[in-house]
This record gives sequence, structure tokens and C-alpha cells, in this order.
Amino acid sequence: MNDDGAPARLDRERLSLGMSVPQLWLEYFALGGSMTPSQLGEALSGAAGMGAYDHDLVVQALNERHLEVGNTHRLAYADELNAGP
Amino acid sequence: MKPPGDGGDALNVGGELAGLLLSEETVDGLLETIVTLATKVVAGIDGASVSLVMRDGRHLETTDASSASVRAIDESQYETGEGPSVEAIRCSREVNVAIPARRWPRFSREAAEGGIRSVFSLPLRVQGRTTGALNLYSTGSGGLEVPAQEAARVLAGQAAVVLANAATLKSAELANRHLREALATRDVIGQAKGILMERQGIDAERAFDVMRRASQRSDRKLRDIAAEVVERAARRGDNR
Repeated sequence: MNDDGAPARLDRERLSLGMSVPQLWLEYFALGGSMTPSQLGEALSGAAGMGAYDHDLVVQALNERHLEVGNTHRLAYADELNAGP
Repeated sequence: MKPPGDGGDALNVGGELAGLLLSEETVDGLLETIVTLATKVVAGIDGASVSLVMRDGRHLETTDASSASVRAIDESQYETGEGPSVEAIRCSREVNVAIPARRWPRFSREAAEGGIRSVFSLPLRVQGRTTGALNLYSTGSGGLEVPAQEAARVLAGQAAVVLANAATLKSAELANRHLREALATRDVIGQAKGILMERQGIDAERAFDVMRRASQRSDRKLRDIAAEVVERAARRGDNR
């Protein structure tokens, strides 16, 4: 994935939704993710990398939380980010 | 059990509560037990209540009271922010006052109207953190005798531990349930990915993409899309 700012954006989104890292991890895990909670935390903070698949799992988890709370806002997936404007 | 209000038996108090540590009591049940025990084993009191600090860390609530009038006296403290219970929690120290108490005129009026002549509020403290207070109300003047105060301290100490354990157990049970639910969802999504991989000759990540796009288009959760994939495959299998 060629977007270095993506993890920071995801983490900001997580915070705006009032989700803790463990809460986000649980949703990410349910979707099929294989990072541990601390690996996810490190990826979101930028201390470790995050591949496109894991990025999309996190995006899916955040978008589903937006759906739950009735927001229309949705985050872009890796292919949409790579495609550019 | 000793006659009501005969109290002064700190060992009995500790024993009663220790037995609750590993029982299946809910937090609500525990609070009711604590208030009942207070009125029975602490000599000289006529009412009791438990005030707890709410999740926001600011608001207080009377979770259990021996009577409606005790509850009303507690709640008047929360409205004004003044009174023995509020101070016991805020300052994390015992507050033992005779009514009227000059520093709390409004509280004193409400308490006196309820026939209360003294109040003993003890903070409920575990590992340095005050989570609430045990409030003991008396219609007699002169406050509680020393043995009764000792019994109250034992009760408050044990009550704090029991409440902390119950809260921890509840958190652990909730975390356990959430993890089980996540595992079940992961399993369904895994099955759906397998079905799509086999049917469309794609890998696991592409299978996720297929469901992710369906989720985006329909604004439904991916787990619901996955459940449909699995259900359709099962029906197809039944129809062969």
C-alpha cells in the first residue's frame, strides 16, 4: 500500500468513533484479521507497517461502526486510495 | 443472625461478606445485601445506603437504600454537592457528623426532616481508588458507639473488596462473551470465503474483497453478507 498517512487516518477515525484499540481489534479479528492487539496498536501508531489486506479489514471494522451509529461517512479501501482522485 | 441493630460483631460482618466473594450474586444483589447487613449488624443505626460513583467518574447514585427517605436524603446531597456521603467520596475519608451540621445547611434540613440525628459515611476504597460510600443514618443523638464504628469499618472494607471483585468478574464475563461472538463471526466469514474461493477460483483476499464490495453496495455488515453466502450454499447443497 503506497499511503504512509493511512494508519494515522485510521487511528484518528478510531478515536472519533470512541473505540479503544482492543475494541477495534475485536472487530478486526471477527472479520478475519490475524494481527495481535499489540501489533494492531503498533500499526495504527505507525511504529509498524500494515499491509493492504489488514488496512481493509480495519477500514471495514470502522465503516461498520459508522453504520451502527448512523453515520453516512465511510473510509476508503486500499484499492480506492491507490486509484487516487 | 443477631437481633436488628444489635451489631458490634465485626467478625460476623466479615464472615457474611467473605462468603459472597465467590457466589453468583450480581452487583445489585450484593449492594442490597450490604445495606441489609449494615442495618442488622451495626448497632444504633436506623437506615443505610450505598452511594456509588458512576462510570463518568463524576455523578453519584444511590444504588441501594434501606428506605425511600434515606434515598431522598442521599439524593439531596448529590443535587447540592454537599453532605457527608459526597465528602466521604470526594475526600476519601470517613465523615461522622451530628445533625444539624453547620457546614451543610440544606443537607441538615433534609436530614432533620427525616428524623436523622447523625450520619456516618465511610468511603468504599480498593487499591487506593474510592468507588463509593457506605452511609449509615441514626435517629439517636450522640452518634455511633466505638464498637459499632469498628463494625461499620469492617463492613465498608469488605464491601469495597466484594464490589471490586464483582465488577472485575462482570468485565471478564463480558470480554469473554464478546470474544466468543467474534470467534463465531470469524468462523462464518471464513466459511463464506472458502465457498467463494472454491466457486470463483480466487484467493482468500479476493474473496474478502467480493464480500466487502457487496457490503459497501448494500450498506450491510460483512458478517450478514457472509451468512447469506453460507446459507445459499447450504440450500444449494440440500437441493442436489
